[in-house]
Amino acid sequence: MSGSWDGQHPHDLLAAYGDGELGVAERMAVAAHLAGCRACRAELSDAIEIRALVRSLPDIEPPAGFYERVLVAGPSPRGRTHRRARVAAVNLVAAGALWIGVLGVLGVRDGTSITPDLRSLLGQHTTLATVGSGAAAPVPVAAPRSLSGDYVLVRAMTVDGWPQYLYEDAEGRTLSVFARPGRLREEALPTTRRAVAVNGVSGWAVTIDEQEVVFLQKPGSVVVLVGDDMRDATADAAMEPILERRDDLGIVDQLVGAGRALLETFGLAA
Amino acid sequence: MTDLSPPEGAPPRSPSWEDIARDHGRFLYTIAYRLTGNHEDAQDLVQEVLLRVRRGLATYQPGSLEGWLSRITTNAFLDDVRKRKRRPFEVVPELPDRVFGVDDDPDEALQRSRLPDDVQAAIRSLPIDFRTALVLCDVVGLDYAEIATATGVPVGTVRSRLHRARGQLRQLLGPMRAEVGP
Repeated sequence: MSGSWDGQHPHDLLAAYGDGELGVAERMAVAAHLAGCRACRAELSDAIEIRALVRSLPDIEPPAGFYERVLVAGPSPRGRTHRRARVAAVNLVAAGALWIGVLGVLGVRDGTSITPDLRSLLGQHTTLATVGSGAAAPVPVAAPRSLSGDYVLVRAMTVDGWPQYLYEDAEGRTLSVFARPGRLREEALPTTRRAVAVNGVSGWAVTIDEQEVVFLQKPGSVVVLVGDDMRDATADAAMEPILERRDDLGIVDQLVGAGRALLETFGLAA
Repeated sequence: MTDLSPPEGAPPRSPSWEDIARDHGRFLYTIAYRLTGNHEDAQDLVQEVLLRVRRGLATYQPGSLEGWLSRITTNAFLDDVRKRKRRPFEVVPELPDRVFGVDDDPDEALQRSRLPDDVQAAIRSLPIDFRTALVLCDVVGLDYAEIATATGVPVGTVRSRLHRARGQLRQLLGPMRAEVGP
């Protein structure tokens, strides 16, 4: 007999017995035991009752419009479901600039500035952005960091009115790049922050919930890069003490500033 | 349970992610919700499954759409659990505190203690391996061999996990009955 008998009782076999999942020999052995063991009969009865309870649970209705949105926009990587995102028209220039920026960040070492081959990278990325999501071969990126991978641009959008770009690799990992108006409160960053420079722009890399996040200060705006696994609530909570918001500018000026910061940061202004 | 059988006479084919979303969305969502225990994670899990289908990361075997979809969902769920191991999946269950009055009828009190939300909360409190086996068996309706394939463990382990999962559920939901008994 198998090791599923616990001493004199066939505990681990009772569920299988109730489910009709035992072979003849085991079924007969358990049945013989049950005939003389009130405790095991009660245990089996409980298991059957619980099984019936679970099986009676209703199907779950997805939230209204969930699948409709997925069918329109395509499935999104984890953690993006609740971004209140509206897909905006893709700005190819900005997207190209950001792709270069992503490559720059992926290749950067702490405190080191890297100037990627802008012309060839831009050419590759313009093709990707023109063809659209998922249709082109990804660009291989070899980087020492956890963010390394073969990423393609999958979406340009606005989140709460601000531009945001999502990149994805074949394993579904994502890299999110966005800008917010305001000033980086460096004093509020964790003491474990590391100095980085991306395309000549100084900034900080910090680790939040085991996730690397890069903050870059531009005049009037903060550019942020986060990798996979960072959820909205966590990212928002992390941003709150670090970002000093600007109330002295109108929304249009703030938007323009954020967009300009993205462009300038990733070196396409020239 | 959702019927996933292809229409009679229809040739078997590999379903697209749009097919899954359009025709089997409720089934997929139910598995995802029972595994994760909340709508936010369920939506993420569903999207991850659809992404994997879109990328062709799982080979479809004609005739076993339930098992195939369950296997992808289980793998995606367990991958996520491993990635997010810091998340408190195995905390003490958040079962509602209920104190029954002396005039409560025991049967009615027991019935109230087993509302779907209570059962779901108890399921969510189970260890991941137990919960996965239970959902695949009692929500999806897979047999033990299919569960063993989906979770990558021997059938004997499936037996044990299911028995213990039901035993723990019984313990979690049972004390309410004991409180009202004579």
